[in-house]
Amino acid sequence: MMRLVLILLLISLGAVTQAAELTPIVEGEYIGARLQALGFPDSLRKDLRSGLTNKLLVRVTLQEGSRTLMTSNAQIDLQYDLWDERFHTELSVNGTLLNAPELRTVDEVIVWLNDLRLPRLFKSPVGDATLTLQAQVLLNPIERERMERIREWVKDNSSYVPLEGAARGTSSETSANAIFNRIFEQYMAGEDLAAQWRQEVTSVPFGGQRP
Amino acid sequence: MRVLAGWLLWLYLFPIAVFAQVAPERERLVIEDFACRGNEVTSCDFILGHVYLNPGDPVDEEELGNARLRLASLPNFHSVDVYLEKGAARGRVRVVIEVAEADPYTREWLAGTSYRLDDVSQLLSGRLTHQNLFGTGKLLDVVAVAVVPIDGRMRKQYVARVQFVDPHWRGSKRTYAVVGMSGGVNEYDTLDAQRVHVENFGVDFAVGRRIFDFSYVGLYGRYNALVDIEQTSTIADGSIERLRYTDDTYSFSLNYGWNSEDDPYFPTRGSRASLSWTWVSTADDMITDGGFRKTWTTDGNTSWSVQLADLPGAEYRQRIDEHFEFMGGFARPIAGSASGEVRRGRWYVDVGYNPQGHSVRGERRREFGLKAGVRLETRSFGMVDLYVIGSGLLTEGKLP
Repeated sequence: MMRLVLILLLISLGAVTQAAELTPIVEGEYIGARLQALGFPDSLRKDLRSGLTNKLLVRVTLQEGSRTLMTSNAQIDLQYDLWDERFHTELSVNGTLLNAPELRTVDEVIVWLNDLRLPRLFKSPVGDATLTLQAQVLLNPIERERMERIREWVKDNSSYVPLEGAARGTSSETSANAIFNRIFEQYMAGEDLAAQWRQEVTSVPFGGQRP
Repeated sequence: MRVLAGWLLWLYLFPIAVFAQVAPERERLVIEDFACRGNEVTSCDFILGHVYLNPGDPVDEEELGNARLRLASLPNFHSVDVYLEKGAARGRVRVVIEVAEADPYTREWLAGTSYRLDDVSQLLSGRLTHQNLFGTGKLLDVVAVAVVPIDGRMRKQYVARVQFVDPHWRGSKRTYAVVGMSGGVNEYDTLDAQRVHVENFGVDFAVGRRIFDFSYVGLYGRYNALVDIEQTSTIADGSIERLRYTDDTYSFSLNYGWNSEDDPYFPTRGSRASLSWTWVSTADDMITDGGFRKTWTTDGNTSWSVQLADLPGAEYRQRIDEHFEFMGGFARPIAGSASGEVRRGRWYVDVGYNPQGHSVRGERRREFGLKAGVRLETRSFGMVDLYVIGSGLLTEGKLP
């Protein structure tokens, strides 16, 4: 009995501490990426059922040491069809549409996203090199120009402000404010894309040599 | 024959190639109507006022995303979700804005013990603001301040103010209006042994406009229905002279200010300033008043500030604050507690200087002081500021 409890405890601890993982997929002269356990926010389940399009942007860079060799962008669009009760799923890599699985439930989507395979992102560089992959994953990214428009609106309108009345205050920050502030912090930090959730993962070094 | 086989193969594979490269055409959704959920205090009109779409419009996902961000920027809501529901026919949808409202009340408490120039007093102040009156984002603000004398020279004050603020007067994005009334009793001893007792009650209004990025200009008017001032002076021969003035007065002022601080309670960068020119019906000259504060942060999250004259308020409100005319200091952040009771905070130390003019004997007087305190944003009490302030008087240079 004690053993069972210990095993269950270890399993649950494992689930809690499971970190995001990025693994290179080397297929001949091509390098792809496998992203696992990204740890999406709890709100994703609700957003997926919204009937609106949820976008996941994955920027993968191939690096040799600190030098960036190549960058690939993968985008996933997911929209739940309220009538057909299934997801319209689009997966594109560098603008080229790839086959995406047929997904009917939110659970299926979460399982797919938590073991995402992006094949053939890069051609292996010539020569012998120790490479790493880095992935930046953004959920529902917002481009800078759009943030600028929102910022203008906030500047004109957000004078409700708690107590002290300064239009840019955050003194009684609500969770809605927190999301908003997180996005704006990224904007203020000069990011070209902001998102309410983002994750960065790096692979272990691997050899990607091509003769 | 080979060419024909090639064509047949191409025709066979063509549809696959098309489906592999082109996404299926998505149904174009049209908005049938809107619905608000979770709004108990906030009106649906107020919420939908932030969504720039109408029934009959195609679903514009970017605009719905923008509306969500606009609503999320307001302190009225804990969370904002936007989703679609099936409408009466295929392709027609209801857009649902679901909000979880935040507590519309904000609270601020201030308690400060003062040991200045040999008099000891205790300041207690409370402020309650309803930030979403009628569910329309208007504010009702009530503030009360009590300064209770404990020892030494008299320093007593009991004042209260109620004000209604419309941040978007007549629907304007940049124009605000304030109507308020305030009154109280103020009694204090001057350094020249003069006791001043003032009773006052009046109503006021202000109309202003936010300009540029961080600035505002405003017109302010006040009618004091009661002004009762009594001055009691002890003359050199020991006799007592009493002067009393009772009247109603008017005043009008033009205000200009800006506020680029990043946070109203815990600023780490930016500045705020105010400048006003006031005409009072009982004074011959215009009265100029103002204040300035600049804040910046260095490595290690230490925030520094310098302040001149009064701490500038914002568009709608004056800050309750005990300070010196010239002040500078630093603040260090305090992390929130694990229980969530303390959300964030900081402790601070300021040094200050007040030129106190000359005594009746011609001595130059200067006040030097120190203020130290802690400011916390708490879950149960709102904003809490506790401080001690003390000062001493340096008297020198008796004039011939």
